[in-house]
Amino acid sequence: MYLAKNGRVIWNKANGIDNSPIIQYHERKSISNERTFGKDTTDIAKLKTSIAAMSDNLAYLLRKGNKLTSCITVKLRYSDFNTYTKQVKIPYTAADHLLTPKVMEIFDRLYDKRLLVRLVGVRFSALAGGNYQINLFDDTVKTANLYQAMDVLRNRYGSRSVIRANTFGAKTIGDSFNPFNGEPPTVLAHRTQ
Amino acid sequence: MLLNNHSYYSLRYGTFSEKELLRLAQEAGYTSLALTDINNTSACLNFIRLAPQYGIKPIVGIDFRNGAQQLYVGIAQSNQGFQALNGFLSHHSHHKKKLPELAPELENVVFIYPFEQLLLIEKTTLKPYEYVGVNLRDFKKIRFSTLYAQQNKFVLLQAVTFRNKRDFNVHRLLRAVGKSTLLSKLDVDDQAFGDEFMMPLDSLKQRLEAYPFLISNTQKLMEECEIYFDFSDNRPPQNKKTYTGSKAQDTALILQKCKEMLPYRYDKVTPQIEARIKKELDLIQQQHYVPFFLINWDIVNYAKHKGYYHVGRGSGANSIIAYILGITDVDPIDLDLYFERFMNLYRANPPDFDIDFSWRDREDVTRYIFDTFGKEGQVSLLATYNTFQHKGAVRELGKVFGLPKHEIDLLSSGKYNPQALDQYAKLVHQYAQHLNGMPNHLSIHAGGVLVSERPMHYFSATNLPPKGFPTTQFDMHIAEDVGLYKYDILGQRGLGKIKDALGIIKVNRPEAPEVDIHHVKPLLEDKRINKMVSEAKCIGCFYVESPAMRMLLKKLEVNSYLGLVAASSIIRPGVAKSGMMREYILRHKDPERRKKAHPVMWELMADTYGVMVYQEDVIKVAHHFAGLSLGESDVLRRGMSGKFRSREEFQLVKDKFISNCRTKGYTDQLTLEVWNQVESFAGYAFAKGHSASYAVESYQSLYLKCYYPLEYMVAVLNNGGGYYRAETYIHEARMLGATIYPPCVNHSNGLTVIKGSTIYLGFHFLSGLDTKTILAIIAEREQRGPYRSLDDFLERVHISAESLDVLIRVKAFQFTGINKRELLWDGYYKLNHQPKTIFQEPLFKVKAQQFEFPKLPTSALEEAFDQIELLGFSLINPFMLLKEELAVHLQVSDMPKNVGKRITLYGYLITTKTTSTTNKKRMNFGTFIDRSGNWIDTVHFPPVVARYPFRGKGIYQLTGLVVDEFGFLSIEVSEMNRLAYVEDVRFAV
Repeated sequence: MYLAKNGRVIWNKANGIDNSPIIQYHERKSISNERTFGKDTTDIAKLKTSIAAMSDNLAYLLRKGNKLTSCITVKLRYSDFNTYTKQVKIPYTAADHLLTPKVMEIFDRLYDKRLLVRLVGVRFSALAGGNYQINLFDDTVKTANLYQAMDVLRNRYGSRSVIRANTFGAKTIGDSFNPFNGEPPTVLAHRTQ
Repeated sequence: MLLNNHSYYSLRYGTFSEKELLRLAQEAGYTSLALTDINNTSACLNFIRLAPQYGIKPIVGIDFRNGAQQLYVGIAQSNQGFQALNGFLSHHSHHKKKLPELAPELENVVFIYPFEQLLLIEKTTLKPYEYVGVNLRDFKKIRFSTLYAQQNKFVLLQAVTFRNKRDFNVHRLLRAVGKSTLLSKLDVDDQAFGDEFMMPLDSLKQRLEAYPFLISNTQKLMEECEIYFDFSDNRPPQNKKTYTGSKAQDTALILQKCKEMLPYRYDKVTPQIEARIKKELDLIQQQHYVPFFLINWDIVNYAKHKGYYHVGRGSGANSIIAYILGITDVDPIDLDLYFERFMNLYRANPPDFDIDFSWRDREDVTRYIFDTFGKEGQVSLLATYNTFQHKGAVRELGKVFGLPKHEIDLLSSGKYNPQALDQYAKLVHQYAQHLNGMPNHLSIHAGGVLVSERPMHYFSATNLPPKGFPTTQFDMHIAEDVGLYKYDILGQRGLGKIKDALGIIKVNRPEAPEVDIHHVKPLLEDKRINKMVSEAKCIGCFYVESPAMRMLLKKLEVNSYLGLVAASSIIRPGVAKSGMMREYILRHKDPERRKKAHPVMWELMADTYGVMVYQEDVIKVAHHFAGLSLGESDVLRRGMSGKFRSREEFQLVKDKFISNCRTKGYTDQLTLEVWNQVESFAGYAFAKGHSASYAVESYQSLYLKCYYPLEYMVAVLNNGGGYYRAETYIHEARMLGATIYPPCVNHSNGLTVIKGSTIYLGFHFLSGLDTKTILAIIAEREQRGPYRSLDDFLERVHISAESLDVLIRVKAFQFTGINKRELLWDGYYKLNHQPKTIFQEPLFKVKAQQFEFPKLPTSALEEAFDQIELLGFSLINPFMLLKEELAVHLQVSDMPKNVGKRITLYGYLITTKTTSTTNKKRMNFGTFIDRSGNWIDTVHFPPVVARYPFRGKGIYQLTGLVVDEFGFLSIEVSEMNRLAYVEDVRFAV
């Protein structure tokens, strides 16, 4: 007998034996979006457009699935394939106007090397079910209504039917699928910015 | 009309030279122009010097900025104003203070605030010396400002930074380099506006039509500015005018000192000596060089008083006064040094004295000069401009575009296909060419010190580099133009070696007689030393240890001081290149050949067989052979060293040289031959006095090496080696009979020590050991005696496991007699079971647990690999590391009987030298040692270099022809292979 109990598990797995029950539904733990560019770039405007679009779109998906996030991660891969991430904890939210500025701030801190960028990505994790709560102090009903109206439009005409002007350049970010239905995300065959 | 113009001395901002600026202004029709570089005055003097040539009245000032934010532009209304501006800027840069938002009131200075900046700081009242600067973009706003009421204060402040769009791009790149950021991340606020071009005067006036007061105000302001420096040929020197305070006293002092010190130098004063002294003194007084000599004398005196060694060299070493005053140590009468070289009436600048000190002492000497002569800021170091070179520019630009490292490496290596480059690489390549030659940053000139009569700020603002001595912002050429002549205070390692060796001898050989190393006469005539020179056994000795010098000494069979003096100059590139080195050797060997020399040349340079060897020979030849005047000859000499300002003047002298020769009736062939010789000197040759000074130092070190070889080698090791790696000197010491031990905790110091003939290497060879630990080991040992065992050491010294590992593995505990593997086990165990901090010595010694170890043998090979890892080289013969034992083979001693034959030798690579042949191909010279430790010299011609390149350290099999050139044997390699070492036994399974 080697490796005690774990040895037995490994042996079983090696022989295709696994008695654990099948779980039909898998609760989604995080949602993310990332993009590898066709050509490495240092174009800050383009990079920022991309991640803003990602952030906005992910926030919409959160609201659609009645989720809130409390952890933002930004991911950056340089042209030498070294990959860096940075994450921060925030109070639970699903509002673009809180998430996106935070994402941009993290990105500014993360992109400190003088190198071309190959990939950028945004991930929201530490999810919890629930609806967005209006902040007692600085939010108005107006904001809440705005989100509601935008989301109604999106639900009806597609996620890119209403977008912020600063994400206009990122044409292919923001496909509309439901990440919380337990199905694996669809992967596009060709993605170009 | 233009008050805010930038040259590229606005470092990492501006895009063209001050000369180009003047050209542009002339083209655009301006007649006066202000140069205002950003926090910098490097270009000011040259701007003032050149402006009249372009018909422009120069005005200078400083564009004061914090970062890229323009605070105000200071314009000097007079020389005093310029000085005040420099003082203001320097004060802030020295103390690393931010510039204040409000400019101070300075005499003869006006400050122009940019309009926007005034709004920003909400400044509405203007003092008499303050103005509002408006640029073309501000026009739409100024009418609405409350400031508009003070119309008489409005001037045009339109910057000029670029010539064209490309310059603007270059500017943006420079800014990104300066801020070390990506081009795409560069803030708009950090760049200049894209409209900062030089606009023709007419169109500028058109643009200003609606604001006539701007034109008149600006013109008035510019008319009130007047700055003047004398750059003419008979400009007054700006150096410190007197040493004692008055000219008469100075003269009295130099006469008195000469009289006092004359007997020390000459037992008997011949009429010849007297005449020379008188001639020099007269000229020195006439040319007002008295303070120059006295200050040098004072510096040297201070050094002597502190026990520092020095060597005075340079053309000043030809002077008898310098010899008498002790600035130099070579006797110009004895050596027949040409007086006109160092000084004549037609030479504008004083002779140069380069005074060398030990690299350890130089800083203190510099400090002394600052303290003594610079109480009011009259002393400063000189700057040099570090310019962008292609490789560096590619590197910087690659980073700005965000290229990954391997691509930058490829681009800067230049080994790529230009067609295959991508967009970024193309841009990098393209703009690197534009950056080429632009100043990148200022650094310090190697040894120049300026001692001026006026405070240095009269000429330039100063920076304060890390060493802590104020440094001008211009370089030596401009200093000379304005009449500031530098004192050269240099550091070298040779003097440190001599001084250290004497100290070591005192300790290690107390019975040795006291040596006065400065009493050189007996050294120069010492038979043993001269024999050593002729055999070229000079490894470690100053200036004579390089392979090239070894070769020359052997070829010339140099066995005297004078021979060495000549050799020191012949080895210089100029002489060697023109083929005169070969001619010299030929004439030296064959008296018949000497007759080939032209009679005039022979007469001028009989002691060097009619071959030009020294720098003064250029003057002699030009003066006597070609009949040029001494002044013209000096132009020639300066031209040779690339120090001339005007190529035309040089060309004139060249033409005159040739036409004079024709009238004298020399054949064209002869004239051209001599001219080519003169030209090939190209400033490389030494003045004879300079050579002679070097040769004295060579002899001092040769003396030490001859009589105290081991002590001297230790001194060499402790002064950072020399031409070769430390390993070579250790090898040399071993060949001279030393026993070499690796660093030992009970014997070694930070530096290498010698006890009898045993050398313990210093801890400084161990890169894995930090200085703190080294000091702790030594301090503890000196306080409470040697360490008795590893346990004892661990109790007394607090040491990290890594450091202990290094010490044990390099055998620093050899004295315990215990195998190092056992020590490693023991040491690691005990370190792991020891409390981390020890505040005081424990009252009772607890006996540490002892273990029985199994036999853990170590082999010599393992030892060697540990040494290579820790010291960088092995202490055993590298031939022992060969994978395959060599068959019986030839040695260096077999070379003489194989001259002209092809043989195979095996050699451990010491050093290589790369040169290019006349058709730009690479060829190498190699130096190896054979198994028994003798030197092999090799020549590798281009085809061989291409086929058998050097592959790093190691042992090579060398096959080639043995060539005897003037008695010097070398191998013309035709085949070379590096032999494999055994596998590292420590990791072998």
